[in-house]
This record gives sequence, C-alpha cells and structure tokens, in this order.
Amino acid sequence: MKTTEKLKGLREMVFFQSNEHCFIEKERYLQETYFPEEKPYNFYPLVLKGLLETVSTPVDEKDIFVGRVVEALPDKGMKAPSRLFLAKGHLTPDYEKLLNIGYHGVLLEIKENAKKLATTKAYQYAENAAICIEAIKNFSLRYAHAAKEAGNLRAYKALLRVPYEPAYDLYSALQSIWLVHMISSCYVGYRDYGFGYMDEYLFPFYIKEKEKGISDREIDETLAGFFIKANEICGRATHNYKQKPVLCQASKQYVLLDGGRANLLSERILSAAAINCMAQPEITVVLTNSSSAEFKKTVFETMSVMTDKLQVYNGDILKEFLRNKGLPEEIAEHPAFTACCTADIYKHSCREEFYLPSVQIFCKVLFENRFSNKEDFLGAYSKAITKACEDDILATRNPDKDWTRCVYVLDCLLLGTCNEKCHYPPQALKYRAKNIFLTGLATLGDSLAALDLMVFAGDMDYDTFVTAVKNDFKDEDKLLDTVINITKFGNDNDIDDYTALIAEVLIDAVEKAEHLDNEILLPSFYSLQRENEWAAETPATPNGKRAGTAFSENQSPTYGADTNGVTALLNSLAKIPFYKTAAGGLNLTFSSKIEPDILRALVETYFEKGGLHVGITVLDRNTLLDATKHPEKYPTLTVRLYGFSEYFISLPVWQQEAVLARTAY
Amino acid sequence: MKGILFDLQRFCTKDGPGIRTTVFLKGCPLRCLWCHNPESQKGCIETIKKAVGDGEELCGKEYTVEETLEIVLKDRLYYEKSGGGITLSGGEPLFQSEFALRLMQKAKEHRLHITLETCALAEENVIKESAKWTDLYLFDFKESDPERHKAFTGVDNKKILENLEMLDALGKRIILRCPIIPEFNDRQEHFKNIAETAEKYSHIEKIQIEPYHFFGIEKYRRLNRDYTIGYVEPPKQEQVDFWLGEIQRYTVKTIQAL
Repeated sequence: MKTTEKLKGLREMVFFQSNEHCFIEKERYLQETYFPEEKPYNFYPLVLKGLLETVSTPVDEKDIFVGRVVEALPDKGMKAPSRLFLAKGHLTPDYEKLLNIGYHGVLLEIKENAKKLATTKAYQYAENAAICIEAIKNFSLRYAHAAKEAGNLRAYKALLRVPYEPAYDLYSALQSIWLVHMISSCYVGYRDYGFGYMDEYLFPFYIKEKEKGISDREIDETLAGFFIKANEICGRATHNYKQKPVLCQASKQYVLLDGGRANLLSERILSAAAINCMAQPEITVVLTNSSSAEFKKTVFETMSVMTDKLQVYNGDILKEFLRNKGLPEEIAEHPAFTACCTADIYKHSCREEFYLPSVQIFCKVLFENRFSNKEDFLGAYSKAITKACEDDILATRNPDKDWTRCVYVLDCLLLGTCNEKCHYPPQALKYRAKNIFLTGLATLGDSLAALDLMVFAGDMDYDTFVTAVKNDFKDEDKLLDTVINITKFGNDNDIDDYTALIAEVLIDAVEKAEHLDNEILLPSFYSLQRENEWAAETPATPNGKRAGTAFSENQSPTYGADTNGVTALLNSLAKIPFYKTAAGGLNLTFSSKIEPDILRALVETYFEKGGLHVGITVLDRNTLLDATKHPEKYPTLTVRLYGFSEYFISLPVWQQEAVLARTAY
Repeated sequence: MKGILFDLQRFCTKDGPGIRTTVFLKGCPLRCLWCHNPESQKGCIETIKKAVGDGEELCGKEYTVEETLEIVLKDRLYYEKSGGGITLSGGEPLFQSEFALRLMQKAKEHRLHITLETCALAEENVIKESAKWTDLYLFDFKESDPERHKAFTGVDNKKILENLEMLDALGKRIILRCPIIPEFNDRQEHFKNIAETAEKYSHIEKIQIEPYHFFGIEKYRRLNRDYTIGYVEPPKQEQVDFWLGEIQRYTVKTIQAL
C-alpha cells in the first residue's frame, strides 16, 4: 500500500471513531483488578507495569508508526474513564533527551542524582523510575513483535531499541516519541502533552536522511504519518461538551516552530502539517524579525491553507518579556507553549494556570465602594487584583502536590519535568511558570469607559449610575443604549485607550503580587471558556453587558462591536501592552479564503505595532448555519476557539452561537 | 471641501492589489439595470429604510478630504506591507470630480497607491486630471453594443470608449472589469468584444469578470424602488468557467472571475 493511500485510510479511521468509546482494556484492568486502599510509594509504577503487561498491541496494516489503543463502548455498569491512575498532563516533555540518551540514559541520570542527594524520597523516586522504564521497555518489545507479525519491519526494527535506547534515524525517533506519547496520554492518562520544537531536536536525524538521499516528499509523508496519530488518541469531541470517556479527550498537542531558529526541517514540518490538515497537532509558530523571508512565506502559505490549525506568536516581544523577567538567555530565547496558549518554561516544565475573575472583581470594587475619580477606582481595583493573585499563589504552593507529581513518575514518564525532578526535593524546582489569565478584557475596558464618560467625566451621579448597573439596567433603556453606543473597543478610536489603560493596570497588579523567586508570574489576556462558564455569576457591567450573560472572550472585542474592519481591530489591539504578557490569544474570523500575502501583511504589521498572537478561522456563515442543522454533513469542519482548533459540530449550542456572533471579515 | 460618501471600508482586498481602504462616493451618471449598489446612484444624502427594524436612516455622509484621508492613513503600514493603498469607488467616483481629484492629489502627497474604479463617463479633462494621480484603473466595461449599452445603463458608450483609448494612450495601467449578467450580456459577440478590446489596448493588463449576484435586491426595497430586471438566476461555477473560457479564446491576456 502506498503511503498516500495509508494516510488517506488513517484519516478516514479517525472520522469513523466513536466519541462514545473508551480505552476498554485499560478500563477493565483498572476496574477489575483489586487494589489496596493504602497506596505505598511504588503503587503507581506497579499499576503501570501491570497495565502495560496486560493491554494488547494492535497494529493496523495502514499504520506508518505503530502504537494504538483498543477502543470500545464501556461495559455495562462501567464508569469510564477511571481516575484511579492519572497524571497532570499539560506539559512539553523533553523529547530531545529521550532521543539522545534513551530511557536507559535517563535512568542512569536519575540514579546518579539519587546517590548525590542520598534521601529516602530520592531513592524511592529512582526505584519507581526503574519500574516504569522496565515496563515501557517490555511493552515496546512486545510491540516490536506485533509489528513484525503485521509485516511492518521498520517499526519492528525500531522498537527493538527505542525508546529504551537512543534513536538512530528519523523514523526510530518518531516511533520512540509516539510510543511514549501514547502511553502518557492513553495509559497513564491525561491531556495536552506537547511535542515542542520538533524541527530543532529532529534536525540531526533529518540531515542523516538527506545524506541517505531520501526525498523531501518521503520525509513529509513520514511526518504526516506521525501527526495523524495525535488525532487517533483524542477523538473529535470537545472538553466542554459530550466528552469522550478517555482522560486524553480533546488533547491539544502543540508542535512549536521558532522562526528565529528555523531550519530546513521546519519547512518539512509545515508541509507535513498541511498534508495532515487535521485538528491535531496544533502548529504554533513563534515568528521573529530574524525569521527568514522564505520561512515566513511558507508559514503564511500554510496558514492560508490550514487556517484554524496553525497559529502565530510574536516571538520578539515574547523573548523580550522573558528576558525582562530575569530568565537566562537560553530560556528566554525559547518561549514555549502547551495547550490553550499557556506559556511554559521549555524543558523546565512546571506550569500552572490561574484564571482570574477580573470582571467579577471589577463589579465588586465598583458596587461596594464610592469613588469620585477614575484614578481612585483603578487604585482600589488594582489592589483587589493583586490580592486575588496572592491568594492563588499561596493556594497552589503545595509541596505535597509536587511530590505527588514526582514520586509517582507518571507525568510523561520522567521526561516531563526531568530536568527538575532529577533534582528532587521540589522546593528546589528552578522555575514554576504561573500563568495568570486575565479574563474579559474588552468588557473591562468598555466598562471603564462607560464609568468615566458617564460619571467621573460626565454629569451622572455615582450612586445613580452604579444602582442602575446593579439592577441590570431595569427601566433604564436609554442609559443602556447610551453606554452600549459609546463603548466599543475594537474600532481604532479613542475609546480603545480605556482598554489599554485597564490592561496596564491589570498586568501591573499581577506583577505586584508577592511570590518566590522561582515562581515566574506570567500575566496574559485569555479566558478559555470562562466568559461563558462564569456568566451566571457575573453581574451587569457598566458597558451594558447584562447580568448573567457572557463577557468578552480572550482578547476579542465584545462580539459584533468591531465594525471598522480587521485593520481597525488590529490597530485597537496593538494599543494593549502585550509586551508585558506571555500568552493568550486573538482569533480573527474571515468569511472567505484569505490569500497568504494579505495574511502575512496583516500579521506582520500587527506584530510590528506590538501585537502578540493571531489565530484565524475562515468560514462561510451559510456553511456554519447549515452545519448547525445538518451536522452529519460536516464531520471535518473545524473552527478556531481560544487557543486551538475544534470540530464545529462537536460544540455545545452556546458555543456554536458564539462562533456565529463573531464579526467575520 | 466636502464630498458625500456612502461607505468607507477598511481592509478591502478585492478593489485592487493588497490591503486597501475603499472610499465609496455617492452619485453615478449610469443607471445599470442590475446595479447592486442602488443607494450609490443619487449624488445626495437620502433616506433609506433601516435594514433591521422600523424607521429610516440617512444614506450618505459628508466628509472633508482631510477627514477621509485621516481614516485612510490609519492603515498605511498595512498598505506598505501588502502593496495596497486607497481605492476610490462608487457610484462613479468622478461624479463628484472636484472632491475625488482633490482626495487623490492629497493621497498621492502621502505616496499612497491609488486605484480608481470607474465607469469612465466623465469629461475628458476630468479623466486626464485623474490620470495624474491614478496608479491603476479598474475600468468598467459593461456592454460592447452601443444600443444595448444605452438600454442597459441609460447612456451611450461612445465617450466611455474614447476615455479608454485616451487612458491607454497615456500609458495608464488598466484592468478591464466586466459584469456578466445572464440574459443581458452573456453573449458570444460581447465576450469576443471584451477580448478584442483587451487585445487592442496594450495597457490593459487583465480582464476581471464580475458574475451577476442579487445581493443588492434588498436595498431596492429599502429605497422604495423597483428592481426592474426581476429574478435572474445567478450563474453557477461551471457557467462562470465557461464564460472565462469563451473570452480566453480571443485573447492571451489573463482573465479572472471575481
């Protein structure tokens, strides 16, 4: 069978998968095996060992890389997925280390460190690592023989050695990563393990392939065969609606490319991603001024084709931001992201995230006090934000939790935070990336505008105005009309200044929060779906948002408020001090195909003006409306949400409506 | 000096190269039966029923050259990156010739790329003056047969063709824009004439055809006007491809459908 036919077949298999299915062999093992209540320190590694000895090793004739998990409907009475055995996910493992020294080398490092530290916990950690690595080694050998029986000799040869030994060519490298990625996601179980800067750590293997005379086309197909696997494990359901009963449901798996370090393989990865053109993996490009013209051209050509499945970040301001945080150059030079656009410290992953209820706090400060000017109000708001941050930092500063992650050796099987964990105890974690997500930016900016224009700089009495807002503008139609009409962030006019001001206040308030030296505070404007989840508890706001309704999403204006075209929107956004933030996302919607040159001009200009991120959806409103009525016709239709791509027909009704409410350019 | 605009759109990508801001001037000397911007025809501010809900609103707004330019210049970096600029469209932009020419002159002072989308029914001196500032003409070519032209648009095409000849002689870059309306001008003879016109003038760079659509119908209702051509079936892709092929038979120049 030709590779192109295999790819087509594998793709079809993903769409034939049922989102009702669980990883049945894992569930049966966990739910039918007796486990004692008391869990000794080596409990989880032993569960992993038992599990990997039990599950089968299916190989499909179309598999380019082997490693798949048996799926079926849960048995009668079975509650899937079991949460007895799970990791934390949400990290970018150090695959470079895996490929270079193999698990054998990783284990040597861990043992060495245990000896150095000579503590009970360090020895226990090393002992657990040995159990896990042995289990994975035996599992890969079983898989090697299954591959041989199915006639896949390339996989057979590779799995006899990897992931225990270092990879020896591009194929064995990818096979090694896949097996580990699959075990982490499906058997240990959790989502959002990223692949990181693949073009960099696979580059030496790529060069060897080229020296052997392998064509770029063949390399593209091999990479595409790898990328498609990322879709096999997570299904097409979303995490907020009708979840697939597996722990890695809706796993957003980021592949990173840094324009400042792009090489020949970067372009192959983009080409393979376009062949794959599925929701996973999420291609995340960190563009920099130093990116070559050729690389940029390829990026925007690919983005024009892949639309919502490729996003771009402004690498220059990200790197500058990390340098300003005092991080060493080798880390600042490598801004990393895992799923949902959260920033990571590459290869030192201990990433946390906190969604700050900025809109609710705004209302609380407004309703419970009386202010005579904007400055006093912002001063009080800033203090309340700082306090909320500090409360969260304290709540998550939990050494036991770190120990849990370390000792059970489940998070990506030692690779996740390998650089850190080898240096147990966790107090010595060198960096903890604390993403502080500020929610409802446009709602806040427009609310500040309304408050200032109506009250502080206007002639309305504070109490009268605040009472009207508190009462959800009941019998205040005229006031409601007025505030809605005067406050529209996103149209490139002076009203934007309020959003820029409150953005600055929020970021500075986060930076003021007391924290330890290794806690790297990373403020960003990002809501995920909190704008809707928190709607019920969010009161009316001064900009005319009614009580119980959603506030603005991510960095977007209130849906439909931006009416002056996409350049006006980008100019508005460029007024936000993104250079003090690390992540978050702006999603633009276009109603028809956007040509690469136009896309490039838009993004590059926006970045030059200080913009941080762009993701796009290209959709025709009629197609979307039809998809809401006849979902069966649109299994492959994807749209961009927050920081990733999602299947439109899998979304809940409120989210489909939100996509339709966006301004489409 | 003030002009009456009925729209000012940023991020236009189909009105010339790159990212553009299109200034839509009100007023047109033609009355094309299929016109999809009927609100552009009268050169004055008029009332139109609201698109949603009851009541009326004003269509058309006065802008000074400076006010217009201020908005246009907000996207200057996007123009530079994409090879875009300003487009004057309408209506017929030269209907308010004094304002249009002044705006172009001022835009050129800022070194903006200028595209003029025109039906070219204007006095010779106005066209000549426009040629001083215009980098690219999107030249409407609606019908080749003079009598039909008069029947479809209300005016003769003699002067329009003279202006085309003059612009070509002046060496101006031209794209020929041809609306193709089923049952009206989708004739072999017209297709042949489009191609031959493009062949005749060396500065016509390419032909763009604009297949009929009825997105403008609703606006006739809002203006209390009759849509006299009644229902015309918009062409399917295969039909558009057929038209492109037919025109291409007689010319080596590039032909695109918009």
